[in-house]
Parts: sequence; C-alpha cells; structure tokens
Amino acid sequence: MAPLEDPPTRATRDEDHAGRTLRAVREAIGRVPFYAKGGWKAPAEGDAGALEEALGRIPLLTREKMRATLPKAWLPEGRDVKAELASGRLEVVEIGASDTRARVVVDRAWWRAQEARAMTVSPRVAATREGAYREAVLWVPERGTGSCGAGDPAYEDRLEGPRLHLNSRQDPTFWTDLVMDRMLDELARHETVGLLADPFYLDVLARHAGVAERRLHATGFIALTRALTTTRHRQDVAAVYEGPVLQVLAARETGTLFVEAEDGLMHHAPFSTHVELLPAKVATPGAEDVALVVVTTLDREVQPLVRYVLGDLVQVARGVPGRLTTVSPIRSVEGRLEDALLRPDGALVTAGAVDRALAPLAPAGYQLTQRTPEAVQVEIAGASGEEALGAVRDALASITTGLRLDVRSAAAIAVESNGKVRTCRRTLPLALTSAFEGITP
Amino acid sequence: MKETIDSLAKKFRPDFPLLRREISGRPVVFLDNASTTPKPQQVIDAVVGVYENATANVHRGVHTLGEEATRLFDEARREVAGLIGAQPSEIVLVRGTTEAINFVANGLELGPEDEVVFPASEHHANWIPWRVHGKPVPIPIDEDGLPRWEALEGLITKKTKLVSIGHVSNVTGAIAPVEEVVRIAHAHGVPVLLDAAQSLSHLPIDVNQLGVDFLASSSHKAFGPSGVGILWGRKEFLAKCPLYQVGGGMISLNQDIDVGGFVPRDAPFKFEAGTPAIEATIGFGAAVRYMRQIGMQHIREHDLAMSRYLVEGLADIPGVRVLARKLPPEKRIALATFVVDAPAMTQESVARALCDMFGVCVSAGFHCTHVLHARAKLEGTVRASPHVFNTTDEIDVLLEGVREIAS
Repeated sequence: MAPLEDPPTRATRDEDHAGRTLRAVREAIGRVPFYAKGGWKAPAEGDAGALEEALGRIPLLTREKMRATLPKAWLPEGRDVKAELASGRLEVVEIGASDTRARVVVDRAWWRAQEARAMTVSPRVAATREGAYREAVLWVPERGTGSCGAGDPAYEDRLEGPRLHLNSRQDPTFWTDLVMDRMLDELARHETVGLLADPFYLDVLARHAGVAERRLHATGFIALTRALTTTRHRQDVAAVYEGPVLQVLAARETGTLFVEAEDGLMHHAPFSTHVELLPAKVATPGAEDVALVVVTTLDREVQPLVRYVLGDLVQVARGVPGRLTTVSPIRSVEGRLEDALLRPDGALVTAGAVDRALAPLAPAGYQLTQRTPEAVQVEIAGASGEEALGAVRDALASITTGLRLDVRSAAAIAVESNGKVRTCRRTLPLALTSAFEGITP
Repeated sequence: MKETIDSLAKKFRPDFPLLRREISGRPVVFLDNASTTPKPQQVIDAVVGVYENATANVHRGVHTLGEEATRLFDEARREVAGLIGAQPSEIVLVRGTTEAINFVANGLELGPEDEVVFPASEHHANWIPWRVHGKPVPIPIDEDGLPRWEALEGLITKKTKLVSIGHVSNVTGAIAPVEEVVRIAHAHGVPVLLDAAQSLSHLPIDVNQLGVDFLASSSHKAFGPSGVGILWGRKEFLAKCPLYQVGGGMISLNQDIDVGGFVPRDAPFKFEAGTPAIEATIGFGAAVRYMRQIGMQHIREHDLAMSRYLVEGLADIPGVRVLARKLPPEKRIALATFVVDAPAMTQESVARALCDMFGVCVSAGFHCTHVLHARAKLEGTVRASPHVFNTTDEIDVLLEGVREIAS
C-alpha cells in the first residue's frame, strides 16, 4: 500500500512565538462572536514583550463556559457557517463524557495538519514519516455505532486516508474476543507504522493479545495519548510490543500540545498553540513542579481558544529551555485536575503520584475516591487480607498526610459510563484561583 | 388552551421532587416522559415505606411484616387491574412491556411460518420478538411514520396468528384505531395484542371495551418504579399458556417433585416464579392510585391541549420538521418528534445543547425504531414528550431553544 499523504517536514523552532500568540488572541477576541459578545478585552498592540503579563489579564475559558454555547458562536464573523458545516469541511464533535461534555467545531484538515507537524517533534516519528507512513488510531470511536446501535462499520468505512480507525464501540468492556482479534488482524493488514492510542483502550487490547499469544503490529512506534498512562498500562503494552512507546498530550479541542522526544521529555509542539503552565500554589507530594495546562490556540480558525483550561495536570521540566517554542517541556502528564486528591493543607495529590506510589505493589486495579475533605476511600482489586491492605495504606501514607484512608478490597473497579476506569476521583469542588498561580479572580 | 394546561400542571407539579432540580443554574424542564416519567412523592413514599416499615418477602411470611408486605403487594395488582378494567387474576407481573410481549410470543408457541402482523413503525420490543418467534409481517408506513391501516386486512392470511400493535407510537404519538383493528382481526379469528407502554399513563383504557386479547405495559412510564410491568391476558389463554420459567412460589403441591411431577398454582402465580420485585410493584400500585386520583380524563384533557400547543409551536419554527404534524390532537398524545436543521449538528447534539443551554431534557436518536427512521430517511430525531405536570412556560423554553439552534 502506498502512503496517501505527503510526509511532513521535521519540526522547526517558532522564532516568533510570543508575537504569534498575541496576534492570535487579538484576532480571536476581535472576530469570534463568543468573545465579542462576552466583552472579552484583547491585549493592546505592542504587548508582545510581556506575553505572560498580557495573557494574565484575560479571563480563563473553562469547559463549563464552552458547554452552554452553540457551534455558531465560535465561527469568525464573515464565514459562511452553514455552507462550511454542510460541506463537511467542518464538523461538530463532542468532547468529554456526560457532565463534562462540550461541543466543539473541528476543522478536519486543520487537525490532520497540526497533528502531523506536531508528531515530528519526536525524531523517531519524523523518521517514519519519510517512508510509506500509515497509521491506526484506537480511542473513543469517531466512526462507529450511533444510539441504538447501527452495526459495526467495515474496514473500508473506517479508513480516513492513511489512517485506520480501529474502534467502533465506545465502551471497551463490550469488546468481544472477536472484535479484538479483528483489531489485531487489521493492524497487520493496514501495514501500520504508527499506532496512536488511548492508553486505557490499548491496555484492553494488549491484555487480549497477551492471552492470545499475539503481538501488536506497528513497525514504527506507539503513541499513547488522550488519557493518563498508568504503570500497569505500560507493562501490559510492553509485554506484547517491543518498539518505542511515546507519550503525547493532545485533545480534540486544542490539537497536539506535547510530544515525547528522544531525551524522554515531552516538548511543546510549535505553531499551533501557546501553553501556559500555571504552577500549583502548594507543593505537590509525589510529583514535582506540577502545573495546570492552559491553552491558547494559534492557527485554529474556527473555535479559536483563548486561555482554555484543558484540565490536565503535568510535571514541568523547570530549568530546561523550550526546544521549539518558549514553552517549557514537561516530564509527565499527571492526570486530570478533577481526579487529583485535595489534602487539608491545600496540596494536590495527582493521579500520577498515586500511581507511582502504588506501582511497587502492582495491584490488578485500584481507585481512590475523595468525597469529603478529610477522608479518601481506597478500593484495591486483586488484594485482600489485612497485610495486603496495610501495605496499600503504607504505600500511600507519605503523599496523603492529613487524609484518612479507608482501604478495602474490591472484586473489581467500577467503570465509568464511557467504559473507562478512573484511578482517582474527587467530588469536592476546587476553586482554580486557590490552587494555581497566575489566575486573576 | 394555555389555561387548561397550566391550571392542571400547576396543581400537580409540587408532587414531583425531581422538578425542583436545577441543571447548571436553570430549572430542569423534563420533557422525556416517553422514555420514563419522574416519580411523585406518593410513589417515593410507598417504596421507602416498604424499606422502612414492611421489609419482608411476600406470600411466604407468616409474621406481621410479611403479612403487611403481602397486603401492599396484592393491593398493587388490584389497583392496576382496576385501571384497565380487568380482573387481578388476569394480570401477570413481569419486568416490563418487553417481557410481557415476549411472554405472549413464547406462549403462542409460534412456528417459523406463523405470521404476526404489526405496523413497521413499531418499537423494537414489538418487532424483534416476532422476528425470533414467528414470521414478521409489517404493515407499511408512510413517510411520516404513520401506519397505512387500510393495508391491514390484506395482510392477514390463514397463517396469521396474531396482530400486535402499539396503542400509541413512541415516535409520532399517534393513537392506533384499536377497535377497528380488533374488528378486522377478530373477523379472521386472529387475536390482538396491545402494547400500552406509551398509553397507560395518558389515555383511559378499558380492555373489554377495546376488545383486545392481550395488553402489555410498564410501570416506569406511568410514574412508577422501573423493573415491573404487566401482561394482561384472558383467562382462557393464561390457563393453557405454557410455563416459561419455573421455581419457587408457583407450586401448589410439591411432594411429587422428586418423582418427576409438580402441580403449578393457578394464573397469574404460576407465571411468577421466584421472589417478585416487591418494592417496585408496591410503588407501581401507588403510581396507579395517583393517576386514578388525578383522573385519567383530566390527564387526557391536559394532553389534548398540550399536544396542540407543542406541535403547533414546533411546526412554526423554520428549519424544523415535525413528524406527523398534521395529525389532529384527538388522534395523538402530547408527544412531538422532530428534526432540527442545524448544519453539522446531529439530532443527539441538538438534544444535548437543549439540556446544556436551557435545562431541557428530551430524547434523541432512533428511539428503538430503526425501520421507521429508515423509511422516513432520517438519521435520528429529537423527541419531546410532556406529561400532566408540564406547563406552557416550559414548552416555551423548549421552543426558544429549538429556535436558537435552528436559526
């Protein structure tokens, strides 16, 4: 099979990142109805020298604010909204699940261009793009069954140029052996070079491959994206795949933000976004330099986002200069803010920190739930007896100071409505202004 | 029209705690009653009352709690029977409408050549059983999803074993001409099953007046808990209907079990093996009592006015297509299924936007009627289904939302 698109060039540094960012913000606030009607104020001309200061005066855009809008609020004035949406060039997709969902307008061509460019931040990925590049994706299905179910689309119907959408069913708990065999077969049939996958989804497939004594076919690399990769995920994938596994931070609404390079750090992808990494106000146990990711898009003509709170926490590689933009690289993705536990002293305990603390015990599954300020319920699958539960308590003790841990064994960890398992959940509200620097109340 | 709707709605709204809820700071506008109804406080109290005061198994315990639970349980069956003009012994408690229809499909012992005639617009619950148990013969429907009833008689053959119809379509809200269907079917010696899932809480029903042979319905669309429903059948059928599940509670004589025999109890108990859904059934009884206290004629009065207000309001919005909009209120319930022309937005996305932006809860998708949607060339629809507690102000919120999305 031949590649169906030109390989992108290798990533280059954006020398005018600050200027580009400010111009994008002015353009968005000036031309997009959501900002114009909301009374947002654009930074003045000549602010380029103080990017952080100029952005700091602009309010944050949260998903809640975005949720209560229609797609038409996000298209710049002067665009023929109806024609563009009807033509299929633009599409409306839903992000998030149930109470955190929102509708976003996506320009498919934009998405593919920014993603292809961003992935070349990894020299290893860039090298694969010089050959016959074909990829498969395994995440929340973009081409699949609707409500009431309408059957599984055929291989040909799941192709999008060189990209194969492996999955057509939202909830992996309903993947049958037959479905997973089909996915493994198709990875080979498609001559997959790169496999981009949600780590949770890939973990399910990898465990099936392990039982069936099969391997994951991807001749170039696997990139894990769109969710927290746990220690268990990495181990399960490594058991059936010998090639390089990269971490990527990306989201439908923002594009690809960070891609792991050969130095093990995740570097900011140039030209498509500016990212502010707002530091946590209180030191975070089990994780260093934790920050909240806030994104401003630079080349997203439809639904440009200004200071959008993505909701992910990361460990920043402080002191390491940005390779391709002025944005610092990150060491790891630490999970969602809504999943971080909150200690009485104000410290956030990230899902990543919890995962590292429990990794030596190698639990089959676990979930920490915080419903009250002083206590956390810990459910552990695959461990029982006071000794095992005590070991869990000990492993978490150093990062959960001030919190009472109610540890108990569970037959299995309950899945969310989308079929995924959250390792940590916090139902307590948290004001962003109290938790992070750089936010004007 | 507004006066009729609002005076009735405002009288009964306080009974529903769910309606006091807000979504993102907006009062919830619940217009998804065709999926399931909110529960009035009377039903909640009845269910909680079982847990707090009368937790015991039924038809078994000799102690006071067991007797109380049994009395409440048996009363529920009597309430339901009273609602549809039937005898309690003709009411088999099942999990819901779907199980009731499957009960009949199994009980008729259909062979692969035995035909069942039903409208092509039917819910999957009244379609798939005939695909599995017999040979489905769908009545054609028009582009609005309405059955071409004039075709019925021509479809009945010597192989026809049943005519099965929805009393009210869960998509168009159209009321079937039941008595006419019964006349035609019975003239050919064919029994009629009535799926009353959508009608039980909207229309006065008398099984004898309608002349049907079976009636299937659910509690949860009639203000009661989910997990319980009824199959009403004539005594003659229930007497000879084969058992499809056996076990405890349905045996009248058990000494012979070890030598290969047992004597089942009379209907309906012989079909109710195992411990039933006690709390749900008692809640169902409370729901029926609640509806009877309101008066089914008052519910229908609200329904007629609401049907006109809703359908006319939606149909006036440019870019909105309402299915079966020309059907007069007398021939439908207050339910409107529609399509909003909003580029690149699916109908599911429209429904979600209505909730996110206006707090309006409606259904979207295929509503378990794939064939109807395929025939109408629709890739999904939005369905608004009010009930007796909904006001015109709430419909105005829906209309404002749809107008905003369609503009």
